[in-house]
Amino acid sequence: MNLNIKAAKQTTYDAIVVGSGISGGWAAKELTEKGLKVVMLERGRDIKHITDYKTATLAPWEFEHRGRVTTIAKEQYWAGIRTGYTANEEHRYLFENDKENMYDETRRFDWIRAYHVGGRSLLWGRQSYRLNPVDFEANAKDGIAVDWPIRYSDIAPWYDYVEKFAGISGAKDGLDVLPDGNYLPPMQMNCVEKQIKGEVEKKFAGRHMIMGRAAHLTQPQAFHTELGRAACQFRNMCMRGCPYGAYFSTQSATLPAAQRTGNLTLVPDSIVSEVIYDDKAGKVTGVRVINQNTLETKEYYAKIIFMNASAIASASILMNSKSKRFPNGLGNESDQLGRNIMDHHLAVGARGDVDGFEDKYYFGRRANGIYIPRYRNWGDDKRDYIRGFGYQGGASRESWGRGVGTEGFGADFKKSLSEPGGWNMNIQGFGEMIADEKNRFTLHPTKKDKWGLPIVVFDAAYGENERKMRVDMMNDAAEMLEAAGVKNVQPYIDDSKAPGIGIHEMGTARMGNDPKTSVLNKHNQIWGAENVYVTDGAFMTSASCVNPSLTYMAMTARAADHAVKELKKMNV
Amino acid sequence: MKRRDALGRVALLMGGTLSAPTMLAFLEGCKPATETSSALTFPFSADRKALVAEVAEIIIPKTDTPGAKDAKVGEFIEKMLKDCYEAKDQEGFNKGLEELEKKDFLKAKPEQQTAILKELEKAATTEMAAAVQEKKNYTEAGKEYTDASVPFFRLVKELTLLGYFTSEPGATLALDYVPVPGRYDGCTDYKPGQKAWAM
Repeated sequence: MNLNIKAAKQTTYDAIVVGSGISGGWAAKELTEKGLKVVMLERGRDIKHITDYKTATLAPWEFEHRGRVTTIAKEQYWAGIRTGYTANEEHRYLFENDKENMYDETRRFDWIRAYHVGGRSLLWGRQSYRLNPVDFEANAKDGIAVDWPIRYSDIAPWYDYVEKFAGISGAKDGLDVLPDGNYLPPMQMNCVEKQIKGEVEKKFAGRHMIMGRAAHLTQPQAFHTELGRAACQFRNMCMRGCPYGAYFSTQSATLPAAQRTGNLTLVPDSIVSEVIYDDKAGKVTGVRVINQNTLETKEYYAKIIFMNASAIASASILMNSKSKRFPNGLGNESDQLGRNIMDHHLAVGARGDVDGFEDKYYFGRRANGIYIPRYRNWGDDKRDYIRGFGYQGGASRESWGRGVGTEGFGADFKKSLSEPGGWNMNIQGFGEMIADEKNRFTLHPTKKDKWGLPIVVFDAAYGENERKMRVDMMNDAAEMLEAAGVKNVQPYIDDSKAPGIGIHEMGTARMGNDPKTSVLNKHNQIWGAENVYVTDGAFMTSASCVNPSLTYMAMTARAADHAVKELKKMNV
Repeated sequence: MKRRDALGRVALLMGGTLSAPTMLAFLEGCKPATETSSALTFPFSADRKALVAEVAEIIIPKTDTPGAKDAKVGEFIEKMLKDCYEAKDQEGFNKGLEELEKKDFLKAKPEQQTAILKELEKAATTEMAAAVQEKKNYTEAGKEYTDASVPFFRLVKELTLLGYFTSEPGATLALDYVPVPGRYDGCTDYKPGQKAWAM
């Protein structure tokens, strides 16, 4: 008995953070900085900053297959292969083997996972945009899904706060559709991008081409360098892990900040199987974990719990957490848990050649591009679909790769490929996917993974609204490039892709005003289990068309602030 | 506006910066070769190693910079075929090698060798155009199309370029390799003859 009490004491903290990715890192940082003793549980292995980025400094010829995917890897990474890049040799070690981490598909979903300390914060695209005021009102205006329980003004100060710490490079462009933030100097456009920007803005009122806002330190501040972070070196090898700590990740930023407080305990290899709701106590008391290597189980206890395992994983843990009070899963009285899966739809746009500028080139590899913010269904524009899309892209000179598609070989051919080719420009759309409760995942009734946990079964697809929007995404792209003087414009649309491909899973435990139609309240607390906060992509009530990670950071910081205040008031 | 009908001229391009559609063969749509029914045997015989190395060297010869042989492109092609390609592409490659062996390629004069490869390149282009048309026909008819194997010359050329330009001699001597640029200048002057950045 005494032993048990002692054991329980050893695994009792003020707060538990489930997951160590973009949002988990923020939860750990905020809670520890506010003085709480925190344990951060990560299902995967530990990855130490710099020393464990095993491919970060390799030259192209040091990769056995020069980065390409082997047939064995194709079989193992059957979902990862669908993106066309995540299973590549340079960074495959940071993504999951899908064969060992099975999931099922009633309707296809491309689930791209990274189970290790830092999660996908080591792998994200780093584009960092704020949602705008209209994004938070859109569901209410359109009469779909449920209304956001918060407005832009609730989150704006938190955007300011996280942008500053994370270090986002970008320009203040003064656009309603894309609120400005707290930025480090923007990266540069190249000659061709500047030219096309001028033409597009001249020919299309209300459309803008701006420099991408990216989580890279272009001019590190003292509070960045204190954590060991340095300026971007323009190698563009970010997905291998950045030895300079130049882009925002858990390892480079939030983890060292949390660790220096002395209040953080990081426990890798710990798969959270369920959140414990104690029916006698009438509240959540902790979580149960399975060691991923030894299969040993253990319990951790705390006053507050932050769910940051990523949208699908957090919601599946909650589904697996059954009690008398919550027989269908923690916080699932609305039956909305696992529903309303959203992503951003892409793989549609246009590219073309740019004449002239043969006497211009660039130096360095910019891990960023241009951005064309949403202009559809904005202001006076009205379409036969709701919401909108933005474009990401850029111009560059062609590499030796062009030789594969052109006839010829021999000395002259080799010489020509040793020099840069012509310029081309590509823009790809990123569209908003609207919430539909039929887009969902469930837990398989019988099939279990190697840790004995039920596997996830997806049943999701793009709807009519996304399909209509995609036509504009393609046509507008071609139209803009042609108007800007781009030659041989080739529109493209790949409708073979499925939700998930944007790797922006959202919405499986949405926020709302009503416990009957949502899982979380306006502070990201689970209705009826208010000491549990969900602040990864699961909380998103609508998707906007901008990349979501910055919003997860801001919402996490806001929720952590709320949690600590409530704790002090003894409300949770 | 006519442009609203962009779909009529859609090219299935992804990633934007890759100019070579067959590069996609590396990334997508390939089913793993679970059966070991390959017509190729690994490792290649000494004769075959020499043949593959020679073809690569003709595509990327030694000039004032190293050639395919210096960059060990022959060995690279063999490795890639073994590890990264499914049986049907290996078989297509085997057929191409057999054809060259029949023509006694290694003993032919340089002009003859060039002529043979030119012919193969033409055949590959025709074959690929036919495959695109066939795929279009199938798709329009609502039938499922299984991608044809990559023609021999296209495959050997693609692997030669990849193997060469990402090799140490290729990347650092035929191209300009800067491992850590340290900055980004968007608009620099390009001087005629300046080499392209390796990455």
